[in-house]
Amino acid sequence: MAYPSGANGASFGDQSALVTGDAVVLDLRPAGFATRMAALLIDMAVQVAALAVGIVLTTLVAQGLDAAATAAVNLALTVLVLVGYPTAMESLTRGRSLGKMALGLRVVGTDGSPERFRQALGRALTAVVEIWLLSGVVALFSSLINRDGRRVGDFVAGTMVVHERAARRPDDALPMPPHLAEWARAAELSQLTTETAGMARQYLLRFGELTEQSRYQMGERIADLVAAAVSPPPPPGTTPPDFLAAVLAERRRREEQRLAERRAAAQGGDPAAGSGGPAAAQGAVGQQNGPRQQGGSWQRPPG
Amino acid sequence: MDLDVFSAAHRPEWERLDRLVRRRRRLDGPEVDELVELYQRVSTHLSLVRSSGQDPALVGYLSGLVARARSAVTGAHEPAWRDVTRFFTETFPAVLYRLRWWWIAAGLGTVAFSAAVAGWIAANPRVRSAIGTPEQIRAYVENDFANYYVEHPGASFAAQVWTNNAWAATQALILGVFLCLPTIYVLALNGANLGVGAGLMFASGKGDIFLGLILPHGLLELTAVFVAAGAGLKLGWTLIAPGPRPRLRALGDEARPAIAVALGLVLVLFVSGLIEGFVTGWVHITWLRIGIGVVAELLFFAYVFVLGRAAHNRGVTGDIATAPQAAPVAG
Repeated sequence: MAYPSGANGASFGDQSALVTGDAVVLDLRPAGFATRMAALLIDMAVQVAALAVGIVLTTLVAQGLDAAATAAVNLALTVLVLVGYPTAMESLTRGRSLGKMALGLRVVGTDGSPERFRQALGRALTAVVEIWLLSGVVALFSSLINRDGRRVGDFVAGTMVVHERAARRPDDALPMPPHLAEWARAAELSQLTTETAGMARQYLLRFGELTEQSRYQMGERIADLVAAAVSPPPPPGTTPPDFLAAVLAERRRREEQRLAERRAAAQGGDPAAGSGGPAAAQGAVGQQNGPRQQGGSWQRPPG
Repeated sequence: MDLDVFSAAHRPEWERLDRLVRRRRRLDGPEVDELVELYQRVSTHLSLVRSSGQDPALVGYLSGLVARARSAVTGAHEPAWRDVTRFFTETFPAVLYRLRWWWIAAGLGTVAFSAAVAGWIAANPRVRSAIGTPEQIRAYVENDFANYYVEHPGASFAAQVWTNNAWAATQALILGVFLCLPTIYVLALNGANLGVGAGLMFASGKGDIFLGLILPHGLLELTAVFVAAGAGLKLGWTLIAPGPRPRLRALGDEARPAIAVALGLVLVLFVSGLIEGFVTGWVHITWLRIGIGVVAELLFFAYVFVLGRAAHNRGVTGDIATAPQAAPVAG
């Protein structure tokens, strides 16, 4: 298995991690059995329809044929639909059947590599036993028990099914609350560590998912942490989310500015541009060390 | 590193990669280079973002992007003909050779079982009377058994026999995954069928006819079925005793070559189907008939023990070239 061992094994949450051939860990979500079953039902509907059409056609054609030839054609037809269709489809599209396309799934090797012909054939052949002959019982239980939702055919081929559609397209630049822009422009932020900033960012990105209670408590705790590294303190009456958003947006603005200056310096060779950012310098000079905000003094956010 | 800045700075590259992956079938030369380059660069971005541990959503987005780009970059199909040639000159014979003890044992066991059943039936009139009335048995012995091979036109019969056998062999193989038991059942059933036929024929003094009709195609056909069953038993046994490898990975490692066996056997059974359809019922010189069967069997053994052995000794495992990579295990 391509699971990194030990403490690195758990990525975010306790999903299992795929490691590509280039040793990059991918966080692809393995498809659960419910999604897979839905995809399977679509494929089975297609296959049953194809079989029905095929049987009608062979019965029409079979008038002039002897029994042996009819039997051969019937069996070949069944095998083509049950094994040939998924094998051809999955190996041509690198791991997607019609049902999987509909639900955004893809079959990949346990290292995230594209599915190959022989793997597709192994999955399809096993599917005949575990899905068609045993009415899906084996596949269902295997998929339920395995943490990646793999069925026996996946074990045989060394594959798994993952969600291919990324959950959210991240376009999450945090906006600056307008009433804090003035304050933020002059604030000293250089003491803020990356971890604390990251925590604040997570809090704000997930703000909508938290209960009101934890919004407030967590916001207060993180705002205290951030406030300890920021001076001067924000204007009285600021809510933790607004404060955090202002700090992060300002931090981002300064880094972008620095990046732009560095680029300009690299291109135009302008020596005056590289000196740390005028806003930060101003803030450091112009500030007074007022009393730090303590816990409990934050304005409760509305709603 | 501020993630917002990072993602703002690299967003254009991610979107470009996304567009390239979407159009992967219609890329020109420079664009392919760009695709590979961007794939590597975005992989690095992913590992940076991932190790910063700050934004699972961004990691998810980049993972999906990298995975799709990977299947575009590495998913090229190999030239089919070279693949086919290598399959029949290396992969298939090497796996046959590697699994030789499995299928030889399966074959000997089944033949011994058949012989025992045949002996039991031939020696006990009471067993024969339990199988059918004397009239039924006489009809089977004198007509049905031999007529079976000439009831239908040769081509149709060959096609029927081929599809049937190929499908049965494939099933015997894949059923082995379920801890060997179904495969053993299939072997026992086939062995018993063969034994009943042999017992009835020998009891009526028609043993020569039986052998004359079974041997031409049966040698190769039964060998193919034994090979399939042997590969299936090996699969089940891998699941029971995987050795130092993790169980499921060991199964995958053994199963991918086994699938190659199933593919190759389709062709072997095509040959035995031709013999059964065009030789067994239609060539009336017994020694010629049996000679054809023996030659086919010998060719198969030569294929396994010459080509297969050589390929095996060169280190051909029969797994696919791009088998999923996994951490090595000790042992």
